[in-house]
Amino acid sequence: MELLLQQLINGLSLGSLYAIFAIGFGLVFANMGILNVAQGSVATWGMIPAYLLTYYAHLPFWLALIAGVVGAGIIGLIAEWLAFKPLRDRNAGMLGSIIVAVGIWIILLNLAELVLGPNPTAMPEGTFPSAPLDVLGFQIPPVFILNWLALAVVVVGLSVFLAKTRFGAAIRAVGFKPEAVSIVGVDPRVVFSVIAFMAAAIAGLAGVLTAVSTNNVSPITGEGLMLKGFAAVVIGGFGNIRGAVIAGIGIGVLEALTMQYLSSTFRDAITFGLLLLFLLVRPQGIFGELKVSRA
Amino acid sequence: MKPFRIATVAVAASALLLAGCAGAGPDTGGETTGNVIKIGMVNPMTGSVAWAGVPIAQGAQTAVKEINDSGFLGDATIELTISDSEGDPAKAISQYKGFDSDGVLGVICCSISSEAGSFAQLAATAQLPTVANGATLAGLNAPPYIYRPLVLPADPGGMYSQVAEAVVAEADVTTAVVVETADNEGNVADANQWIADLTSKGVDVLQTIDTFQADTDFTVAVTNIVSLDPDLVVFSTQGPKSATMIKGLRDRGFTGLTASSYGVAVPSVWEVGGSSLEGTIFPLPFSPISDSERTKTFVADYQAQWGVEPDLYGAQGYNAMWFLAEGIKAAGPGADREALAQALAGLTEFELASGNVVKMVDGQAKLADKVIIAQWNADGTQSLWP
Repeated sequence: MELLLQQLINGLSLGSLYAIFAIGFGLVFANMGILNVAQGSVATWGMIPAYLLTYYAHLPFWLALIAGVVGAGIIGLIAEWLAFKPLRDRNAGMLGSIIVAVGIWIILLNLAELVLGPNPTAMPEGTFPSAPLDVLGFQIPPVFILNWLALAVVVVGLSVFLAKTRFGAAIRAVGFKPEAVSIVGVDPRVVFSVIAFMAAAIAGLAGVLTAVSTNNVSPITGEGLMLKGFAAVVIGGFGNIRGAVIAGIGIGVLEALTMQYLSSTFRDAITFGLLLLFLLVRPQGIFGELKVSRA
Repeated sequence: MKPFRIATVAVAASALLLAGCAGAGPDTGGETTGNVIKIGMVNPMTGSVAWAGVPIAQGAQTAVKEINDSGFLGDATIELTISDSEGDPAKAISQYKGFDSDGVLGVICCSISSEAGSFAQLAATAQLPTVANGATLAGLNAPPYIYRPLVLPADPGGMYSQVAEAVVAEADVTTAVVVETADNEGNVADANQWIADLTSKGVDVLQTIDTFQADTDFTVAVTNIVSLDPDLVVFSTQGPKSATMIKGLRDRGFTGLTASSYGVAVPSVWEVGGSSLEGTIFPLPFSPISDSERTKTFVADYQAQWGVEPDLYGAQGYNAMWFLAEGIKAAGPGADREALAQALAGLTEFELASGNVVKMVDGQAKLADKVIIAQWNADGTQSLWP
């Protein structure tokens, strides 16, 4: 029983990383209509400045974290201005944005390999406390607490921003009809830029936390988040924050228990089997709304 | 479909350019052009195993420089073309076929076992002499077309057997857990040998834990191991992943012994595991501080060319290229693939970069010497164990 509960705790931490990533991914998809397959590489590029600043400049972790989040946000902004906005202006549709996103993914991945080199590494020893805390007999590494706090901050902050602010309302509106946003005096280009920055910054946050949680800094650190985050978005419902959280955490817990009690071999099969099941049975996800088109 | 804007085209073109540069295929000419002997090398220069692939390639290139500068092949020089397989078996096979169609005299391949599986059949079909440098997949050697001047660590009585015997004798080990990379046949075969050796010494192997090459999070596996609380944990995984798991174990208060395949021996692994690696035991097939003349030459030339000391993977690439060169020399000037294949079959001994002389039996290197067993120290140095 103790082992089961300990693995549940592990799964909750892992799932919180998936949830954070899924929130950012879903934000872009729901409000910009972009299936941004480069989001995993953006997460990696949130990790890279954080790693470089702690390793070479010996910056404190918190400052490096902020730099990583902002750095990833800037990359998202650049991608929006140079790639996605031109497509939108031409009404290129989702296929065009996917193709461009693949290009951005390849560029970011190759640049990450150039910057980090071939040798996997880790955040410098002592960057963040690694010795687990003993809580009621269970081992909880401090980074787990950070992951949960980060998820809470993202969820609460984003929910309040979207629901309670005028700009948040504009973000929700722009996904339906960009012109409607102009009517209320908000430039849709600004709205899209803010969405792109926020989504990428959230991905960057997930990237930094993943690097600390897994003790792994490599060009493919963010790739593991991409597929699981996508699954969480589909299962939870596109653009639904609550759904992304529940699905992300659910996937993390499912993975941990599968690896413990079945085999690691089945881990991804079960996760993506669940994804397939939802696509077949409930494609709108747990909390999404089914849209009906009339001929 | 409406045309893309210039910026979109630029993004796509940049991506294609970068991807093309990273995964450039071979563009060699015939087997020998004038006095230039063309050799191909399929090797993971990027991707999840580039940490081994890059030094392997560098070792091979150091060997090429030595061979050409010393006039080892008389008037002929070697031109080595390296293709980046990215650790992808499908790409590796495609690149190998490309080298075959381009008419290279020989190929160096197989840095990892997952790439190596199909090469035996390919080499036999193409009748292309191939030297495997790092894959530990059993049965890969297949003369006259595939040779492996790499001592298999999992040979019965070999490196891992010697480490298992020493650990059990010195450290009073009664229980163990073995961790393997389940989608790497070489790692799985190595793990099976560890298990067989430990079991034969009366050790109870509590569990074999599977991980995968793409895994980066080992929290669940580490928690499982801690709950089992074995005397010894053996890692038959890639070095950086072993280091990550060892750090996780030490962070969670595990005080038992840790032993690993030699992948954990390279200096870059210290960047991952740090002081948590203290006490981790491993076999050391190559050390740059060995006092053999072969090692001193290799280390000096490698350092001059790359600015760093070579590790055991650099030695693997170096060994593979020199083995091929000795076959080319034995085959004589203007030799074709068939002559090279027969010449390689005739090489019965070969001196490794470590200074050890191995016997080539059925295309496979066999080492009779005792292996060096080492451990990591808290300050990042290595010393003999026990």
